[in-house]
Amino acid sequence: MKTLLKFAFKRRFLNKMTLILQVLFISIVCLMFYVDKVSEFFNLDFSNPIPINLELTLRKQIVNEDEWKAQGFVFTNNKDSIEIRKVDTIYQVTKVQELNTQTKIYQLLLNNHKQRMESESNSTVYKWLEKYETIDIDFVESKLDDNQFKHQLIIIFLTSIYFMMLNFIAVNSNEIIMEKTSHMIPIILTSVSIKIHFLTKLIIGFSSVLFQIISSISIISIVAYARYQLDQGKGLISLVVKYLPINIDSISLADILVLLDFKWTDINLVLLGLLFILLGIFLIQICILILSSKVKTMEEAASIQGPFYLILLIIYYLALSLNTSQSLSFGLGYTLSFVPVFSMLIMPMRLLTQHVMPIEILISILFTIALISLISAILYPQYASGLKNER
Amino acid sequence: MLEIQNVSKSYGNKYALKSCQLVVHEHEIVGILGQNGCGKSTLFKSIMGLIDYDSGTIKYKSNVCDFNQRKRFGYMPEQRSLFLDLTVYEQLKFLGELKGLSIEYINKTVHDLLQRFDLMDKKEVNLNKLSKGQQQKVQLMAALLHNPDVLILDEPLNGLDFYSVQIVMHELKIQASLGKIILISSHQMDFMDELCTHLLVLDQGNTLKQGKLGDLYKEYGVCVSVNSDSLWQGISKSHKNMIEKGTFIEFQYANLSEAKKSMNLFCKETSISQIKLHNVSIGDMLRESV
Repeated sequence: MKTLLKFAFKRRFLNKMTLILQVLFISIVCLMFYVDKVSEFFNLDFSNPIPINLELTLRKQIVNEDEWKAQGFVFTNNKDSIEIRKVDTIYQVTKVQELNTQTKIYQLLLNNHKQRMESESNSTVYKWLEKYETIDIDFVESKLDDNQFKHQLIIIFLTSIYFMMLNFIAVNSNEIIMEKTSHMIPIILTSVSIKIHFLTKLIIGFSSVLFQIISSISIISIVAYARYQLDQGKGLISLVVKYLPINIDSISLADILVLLDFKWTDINLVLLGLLFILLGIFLIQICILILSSKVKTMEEAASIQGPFYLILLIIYYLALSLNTSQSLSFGLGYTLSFVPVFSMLIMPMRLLTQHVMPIEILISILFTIALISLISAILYPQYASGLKNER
Repeated sequence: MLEIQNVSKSYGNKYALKSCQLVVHEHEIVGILGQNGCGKSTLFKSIMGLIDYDSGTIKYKSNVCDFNQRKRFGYMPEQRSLFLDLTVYEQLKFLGELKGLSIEYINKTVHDLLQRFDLMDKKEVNLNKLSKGQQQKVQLMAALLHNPDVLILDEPLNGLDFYSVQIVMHELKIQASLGKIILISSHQMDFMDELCTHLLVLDQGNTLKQGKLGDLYKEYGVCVSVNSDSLWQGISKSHKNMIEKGTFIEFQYANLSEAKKSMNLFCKETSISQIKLHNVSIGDMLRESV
C-alpha cells in the first residue's frame, strides 16, 4: 500500500502541470490581495456607472453633475440609456430595466402622502403647500453587522473549499482509469490485493483533497501576510469597502481580524463545516471510484464525472437558496441537513445561522458515515469484479 | 507442482475454458497453443487470480492457490502493461517495491536483468521512447524481477526480432533449468518447438491435446523433407501427408521406420540435394488438431 500511495502522490503532485497550476493559483491569489495596486498601476476603474440620457437644457438648469456622478451616474447621449425628460411639470424617466425597492417605496410613500394631503381640508393654501412639500424620505442603507459579516466570510471560505474539492472528487477514479487504460491493473493485482487497492485509492482521493485544502490555505495565508507586512492591506480594504456592502470602519487587515473577533467557537464551526464537506466528498468519491472500476474505454471514463459535478452544483445552489434562518429551521432545509451529501453544505449553513443541538450534528454525521459504510460494504464486490474479470 | 483441475470459465453461454486439466512440474516449459480466443489468456488469468473462474481448482504445491502464493508467480500479460511515461528503471523499481523487494535487491537485479536482456543503455530512457520489442523485454524483466517460482507468460515473443527472441528463449531455458515452472503462449510455432517441453492445445475452451512434446511427436509421426526443385515425385508411397514448405517438400510418416525407408529411396534420387529427417512441427500438430 505504501508503494502505491507513494507512487500515486509522486505522479499526481510532482509533475509539470501541477507546478504550472500552482503558479497560476499563486498568481490569482496575489492578484486578489494586490488588486488595489494593480488597478492603480494600470489606472483601472472598477466602478460601473449607470448611463443617463438627460436633455442638455435640463442638465444645465437643474442638475448638479457632481452629485449625480457621486451616486454612480454618468451622462450620455446614447438613446439606449435611461432617459429623463420633463413633460409639462412631470419628470418622465423611461427605459429603466427594473425599479428597485427604494424607488418603489419612494413612489408609494409620495403618492400616499399626496393623497392624504389632498383629502385634508386646510385653513390656508399656504399652510397646505408647506405641509405638502415637507415630505422627506431618508433611506438608510442596510449593511451587514459584524457577526453577519463574519458568518458570510465563513460561508465564502467553506464554499470556496467546496469548489476547490470539486476539482478533486475524481482523483481516485482518474487513477483507476489510468491503470486500466495502461493495462497495469493485472500487474498491480498480482502484487496487491483488491481490498488494499480499494483502500489505497480511497486514501489517495481523500488525501489529495486534504493536501489541496492545506496547500491553498497556506498560499493564501502567506500572500495575505506579505500584504499585511507591506502596508497592512490598507488600499485593499478601502477598495473592498467601496464596492462591497460591508459596514466596517477598519482600515487594515489587522483591524478586520480584531473586528471579526474570531473565537474558538468560530474556529470549531469552521472545522465542523469542513468535516461535513469532507465526509460528503468522501461519499461521492467512493461512488465514483466504484463506477470507475466498471469503465472499459476512455469515452466511458469521460462521462462518469459529469453527473456528479451536476449533483454538486445542484447542492450548492440549493444550499444558497435555503440559506436563510427560516428555511433552515423548518421544512426542506432542516430535513436536508440530515441527508448525506446534502448535509455537506446545508448543515454548515445551519451551524452558522442558528443554534444546532449537538445531537442533531451527531445524527447528521452518523447518517453520512452509515451510508459510506453501507455503500462500501454493498458495492465493494462490484469494485472487485470491475477490476477483475477483464476479458 | 502447479495443478489445474477441471477449471471452467464461461462468458454468458459461451465457454472460454472448459474443464481444463493440466499438471506442470518444476523445470517444465508448457506451451499453450491455440487460435485466437481459444482460452489461453483466460487460463493464464485464472491461474493469476485475475478472473473468477466458474468451477474447478488451481493448486500450487498441493495447496489451493491464494493471493500469497500467487505473489511467487511472475506474470506477463498479452497487452502492453507499462506506464509509458516512466523510465525503464522507474517502472521496474515501482513494480519491485510493489512486490515488497528492497531497493538494494531491486537495483542489483535490475542491473543484472538489463545486462541479460541487452538493454543496459536504456535504463534511464522513457518507455515510450523504446521500440515495441524493447518494451516487451522490459515487461518480461518485470515478471522476472522477484525471482518467481512460476512464470506465466502470455505471448512474450510478440514483436521481438530474431535476436531478441533468442535472448528471451535462452533466459527462459535458464529459468526452467533453475527449477521454475513456465507456462507460455505464442503464435510463433518455430520457437515453441525449440522452447517447450510440454504442450497444451486449446480450441474454443476445450483441451484438444496435451502432453510431453516427445510423446506428441511420436503420436504425430516423423517427417522427411527434400528440396522441392528435385524429382521427388512418385518416390515416397507410404507417407500420410505431404506439405510444400518454401524450398522443401515435407512428407509425414506414421513412424520412424516408414520414414527411414522412404529416406533411403530419396537418397538414391540424384536430383535430391537436400534431405532431412525431423519431427512434425508444432505448427503442423496444431493445424491437424484444430
